[in-house]
Parts: sequence; structure tokens; C-alpha cells
Amino acid sequence: MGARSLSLPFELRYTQPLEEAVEEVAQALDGGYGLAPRSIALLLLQGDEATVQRVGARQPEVVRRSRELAQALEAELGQPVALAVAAERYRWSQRVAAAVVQERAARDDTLGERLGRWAMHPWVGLLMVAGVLYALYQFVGLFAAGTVVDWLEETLFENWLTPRVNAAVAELIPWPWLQELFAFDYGLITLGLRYAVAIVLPIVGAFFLFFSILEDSGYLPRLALLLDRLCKRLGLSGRAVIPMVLGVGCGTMATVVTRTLETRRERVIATFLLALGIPCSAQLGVTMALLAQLPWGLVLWGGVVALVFLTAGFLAARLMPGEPPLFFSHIPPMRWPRGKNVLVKTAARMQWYFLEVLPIFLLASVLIWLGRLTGLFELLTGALEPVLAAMGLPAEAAVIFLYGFFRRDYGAAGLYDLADAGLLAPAQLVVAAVTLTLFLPCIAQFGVMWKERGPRVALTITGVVLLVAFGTGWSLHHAITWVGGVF
Amino acid sequence: MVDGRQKTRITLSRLAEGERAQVVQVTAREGALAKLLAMGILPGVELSLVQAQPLPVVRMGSTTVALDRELAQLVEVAPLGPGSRPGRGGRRRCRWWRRG
Repeated sequence: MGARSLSLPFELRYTQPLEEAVEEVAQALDGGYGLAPRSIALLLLQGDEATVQRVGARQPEVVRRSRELAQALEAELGQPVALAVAAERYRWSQRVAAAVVQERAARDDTLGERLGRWAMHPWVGLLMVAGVLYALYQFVGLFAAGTVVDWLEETLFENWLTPRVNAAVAELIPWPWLQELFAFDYGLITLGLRYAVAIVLPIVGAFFLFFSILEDSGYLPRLALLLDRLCKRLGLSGRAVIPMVLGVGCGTMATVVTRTLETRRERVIATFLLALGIPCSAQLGVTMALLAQLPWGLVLWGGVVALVFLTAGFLAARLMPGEPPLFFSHIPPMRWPRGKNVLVKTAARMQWYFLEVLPIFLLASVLIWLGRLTGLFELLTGALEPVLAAMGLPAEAAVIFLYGFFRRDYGAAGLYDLADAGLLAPAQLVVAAVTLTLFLPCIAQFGVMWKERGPRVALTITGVVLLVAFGTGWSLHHAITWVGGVF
Repeated sequence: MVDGRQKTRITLSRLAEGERAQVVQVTAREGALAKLLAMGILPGVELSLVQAQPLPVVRMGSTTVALDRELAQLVEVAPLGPGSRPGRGGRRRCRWWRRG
């Protein structure tokens, strides 16, 4: 087999009786499937679902015939057609490789190789995970969510853009109810755009950058294999590590990324866990700030949230119908990422993020505007008050929960004010923090859940999350009261 | 089955760390089979087990793949004796996959 034969159009001929079956099915196809008839025939004989559906819609008789042929082949060959096809392709590719590949002895045990092995080691690998998470926290949590967000929010929006927009809108639009759609506290520009550009964009951008570096270094498959067993207990496979890690940055984006999971069951469980137990960077920030003066509260918060997360995953794995996931992954060599590739990838993801998520932030602004205009919000906060009272929280907290769903910083600031005014005891603070963390992160995540998983799943998840969040808050309130009474 | 000789067969999940083996049979079906084939695990292929914990990691030629125990149980292999154990101990015999 020389170079010449490889440059010609090539068709792999299989051995009998496989080849005969491929030809028969290929002849029967009427050719309108956008692929070579032989390719379609091979996919049909291997039982490829998408192809079976496509051809079945037009030529159901061909699908029936190929199923018969496949059964006969399987009986004759003693193995599934897919395996026979793969074996022949493998043998052929080995022949080609033997003719054209030259192998040189590679350098023994480079740094990358050693690093790659350590990253897969049962406990050295876990130490490396801790190191990576710490670096992530430093870069995204402290630098991007702190320094950069502060600058953009205060300097760019609060001091410069927002007052100008407010003034211009007040000038141009005579009706206050319409002014509020664009400007002031909940306007499209002053809330929707500010939220997306000044708060979420830097956090998500930093996260994408960090993530692209991890991705190009070849680390992620190692992380997935290391955590696969834990994930399996939660009904997920190691692959789900990627959206879960992303969720610590932004749950909305992470919910979009659950697309990459293989089965619908896995996607639903991951979406549910992201909505319930993975605090996004905004939620983390709020909690850290609220409980900074309360070390035992922080520990209690972390413990309760982790417990709820693991229990929910454990139950979801048992209650959701469907096959448990299988995990497999190529383990590429560890490499030094190339700067240009990382930047191009980060830019592409940020662009995609803007196109997918910005509209939802803008929609949130419109919804808040409508809610206030129609008095619906007052009704909702009124309905929330007794629920919060059952958790030992004051009525003022209702506004925080509702608006926090649309505008996370408002929830945080509101809680500060309540705590400052002495309206929240330490125990109430912990209860509020746990409930807010478990509570649906924000309207954007809800929107993406709706878009990706459909209304039925999105509403079910939301219902369960609300129930678990308030149920946990209620139990925690009573547990703390009881412990307080005992000691 | 692959080369006619009778050899002991074990599942890939029971192969010892560092051991080399030849794939004899893939008992997986449908989805699991498609995954194994996508990784290039099929009868006749030689591989070595890089590590067993927390998940089996195998090396075939210059390709390394990880698979969970459920998948590894669906692959029957015939052990070929110890290979090199990357990263364990000092100098080793030359690696079979790298001989020029």
C-alpha cells in the first residue's frame, strides 16, 4: 500500500458476509440522505439510532431489511455488527500505519508526563485539586469578583453611566412608569446591562480564561476520572465535574454547559444540583460577607449546604429513572497551554455568553418593571412573609428573597441592612444564608433551565428547590432553637 | 480466540497495575460497546494498565484512556506479563510502545 493509493478516493471493502449486506442496503437506499449510501448502510447495520430514525421516516422498508440482515450477521459472525466493522477498520488502519509511520524513541518521562500521572494519582491528585481550587478562588473569587467588579460597578456605572442615563431618561420620557423601564433602580440599562457587564462579565470572563487554561493543559479529563466515583453516587459521571466547577462561577452558564452530558437523566440531575446546592460566585460572595464575623455560622452553613447537596444527589440518583451513566475519556498528555489558543477560546466563549445570557438579564429587568407596575410583587412578598415567619425570619426579609432572585446584590445589601439594624440575630443570619444559598440562584438560571430542559422539568426543579430551601431553613431554625434551649 | 492459543482470560478490571494484556473479547453491547470502540478497545489490541485506582487507566500505543470499572468488566483480556510501570522505580526495560 503506497502513498499513491492513499491519495485516490478510497473505499474500504469489508469481508464477506458483511460486504454483501452493506451493498444490499446501499443499493436499496434512494440516495437522498446527504451521505454516501455505503456510509448510511453501515450506520443502519450497526443500529445507529439517528440514522435509523432518518431513513425510517422515508424508507421504513430499508430499515426493516437492514435489521434482519444485522440479526443474521450477528448470528453468523458471533459478534455485533458494530464490533465486526470496527475490527475490520482497525486491521486496515494498522496496515496503513505500519506502512507509513516511523516511530522514534521519545524522551523518557518529561515533566508533563510526571505531572499528568500525579494528577491521576488517588491522593496526590486530590491535593492537586485543592491547589487548583485555591488558585481559582484567588483569581476569580478575589481578583475578578472583587477588584474588577468593584471598579466597573463604582467607577463606570455608579459614578459615570448610571447618573447620565437617569438624567437623560428623565429628560426624554415624561412618564415615570415608562422611565423606570429604562433607568433608575430596576431599569434595562441601569440594572439589566449593569448586571451583565459590570458584575457577571468580569467574573465569567475570568472564569472562562482560567477554564480554558485548564482545558488546554489536559487537566480536566484527569479531574473527571479522579472524581468519577463520587459523581456516580450522585447519579452523574465524572464528566459532570466540568459543569459543576463552572457552576461555582456562574450557575446560568453551567446549566447551559450540561448540554455536554451524555444522557437526559444526567443532564436533569446536573441541572437540579446546580440549581439547589452549587452556590454561584454571587451567592458565595454574599454568604462570605454576611458570615465573616461568625465563624461557627460559616461552618454550619457549609456543612448544611454540603449535606443537602449530597443527600439530594444521592436521592436523585435513586429516584430518577434511566440507566446509570458510564464514564470513559481519552487522557491527553499534559501540555503547556498556548497563549493565543487560550485567548481565542476565551473570547469565543464570552461572545457566546453574551448572546445567550444577556437577553435573559434584560428580560429580568422587564419582569421587575412589570411586577412593580402591576402590584404583583407586593402580592408575592405578602405570600412569602408567613413562610419566612415559620423560619424565624422577620417580614422585611421577604423583599430580599424576592428581589434577590432578580438582583442578587440587592438581596445581599438588604440582608446587610437588616443585620446592621439589629433585626437579625446570628442564628437568623445563618438560617437566611442557608436558605438563600439553596434558593434558586437567579432568574437568568431559571430562564436557561426553561430553555434547555423544557418547562416541565424547569418548573419541577424549581418547585423541589423551593421546598428543600424553605424546608431546610425551617428545620435549621427549629434545630438551633432547640439546641439553644437545651444548653 | 484471537491468535488461537489458549490463555487465561480475565476481565480488564482485574488486570494488575503495570501488566500488559491483549484484548480477547468485548462483551459489551450497544451504548457501552460504542464507547469501547470509540476508544479503540477491540479484540486483538494490546494494552497495558497504567493504574487501577481510582479508575482503570489503560495505554494502547501512544493513546491513554480512562474507563470506569463497569466498562472495564465488559472487556476480556489475556495477560501477557508485566510491562513497564511508568513512574514507578528507576530505569526500566525499554517500553514496548516506543521502540524505534
